[in-house]
Amino acid sequence: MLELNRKNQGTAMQKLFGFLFILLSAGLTVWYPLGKLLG
Amino acid sequence: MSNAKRYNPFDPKKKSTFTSTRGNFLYLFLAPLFLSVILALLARNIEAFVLNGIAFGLFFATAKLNTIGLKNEHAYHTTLLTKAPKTPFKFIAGVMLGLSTLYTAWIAGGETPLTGLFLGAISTTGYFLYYGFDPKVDKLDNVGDISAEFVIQTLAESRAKLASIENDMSLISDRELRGKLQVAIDKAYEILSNIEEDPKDLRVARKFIIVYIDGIKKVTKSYTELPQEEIKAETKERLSHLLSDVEQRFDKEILRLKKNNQFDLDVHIDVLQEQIKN
Repeated sequence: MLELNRKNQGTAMQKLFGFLFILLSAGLTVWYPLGKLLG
Repeated sequence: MSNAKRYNPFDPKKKSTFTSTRGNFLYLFLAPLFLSVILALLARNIEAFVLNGIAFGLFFATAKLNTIGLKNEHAYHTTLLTKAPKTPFKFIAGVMLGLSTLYTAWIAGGETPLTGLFLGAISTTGYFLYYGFDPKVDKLDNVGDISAEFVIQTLAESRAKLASIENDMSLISDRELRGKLQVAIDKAYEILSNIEEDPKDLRVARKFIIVYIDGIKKVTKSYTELPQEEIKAETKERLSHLLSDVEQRFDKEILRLKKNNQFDLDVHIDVLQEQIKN
C-alpha cells in the first residue's frame, strides 16, 4: 500500500512538474510577440 | 471462481496517464499569439504580422499533433488487440513544442537565441513529463498461429461493415424490423468482442464473419434503396423471419465460441493432469 502511494505521488509530481515546465516556458513565451508589439 | 481481475493502476501496458483526449491545454497558448497577429495587422506592421502568424501556425500545428497523439493513445488503451501507433505523434508534438517556443521567443519575440533554446528545451522536457511518450509495444497477446495483422484487419473490416449497417438502419421506418436488426447487430458485436479476446476463435467464426455480416449488409442496403411504399407487406414479413433466423444463428455462434473456450480449458486441464501423473 505504501509503495502504491509512493508510486502514485511520483506520477502526480512528474505531471505537476511537467505542467509547470510547459506553463512557465511555452506559456510565457507566447506573450513575447504581444509584449514586443505593445512596446 | 470470480471473474474479477486484480486491480493494478500502475501496469504500464494497460494504464496510461492520458486515456482520453482531454487535457490538451496547448490550444490556450494560441490566444495571445492570435491577439498579436491581429494587433500587428491593425498597426500595419507587415514584418510582425508574418512572424507572429508563423508562431501561431507552429503552436497550432503542435496542439493539433498533440490531439492526434492523444487520440491514438486512447484508441490503443481501449482496444484489446492492436498494434502500437506507427507514427509517434506525441513525440513529434513534444519536439514541435520546443521548436515553436524557440522560434516564438527568439525570432518573433526578439529574445536572445540562448533564451529561446533554454525555453524550448524546458517546454519539450515539460511536455514529455506531462504527456509521456507514445505506446511502443504491440498488444498482440494470445494470437496463436493466426497472423495478428489478419485478425486486426478482419475485426476492423467487420466493425466497419456493422457500422455501415447501423447507418443504413436509420433509414428503415418499420420499428419492428429496426429493433430486430439492432438485436442482430448487438450480437454480432458480441461475437467480434469474443474473437478479440481469443483470436484463435477466428478460425471457428470465419463463416460468420464472411457470410452473415456481408449478407445482412446486402439485405439492409437493398431494403433501404427501395422506396418504403413500394415494399410489400409480404417482403417485410420475410425479412422479419430472416432476422429472427439470423438472431438464432448468432446465438448459436456465441454458444459455439463459449464451448470452444470450454474445450480449450478441458485440454489445458487434461495436459496438466498428464504432467502431474508423470
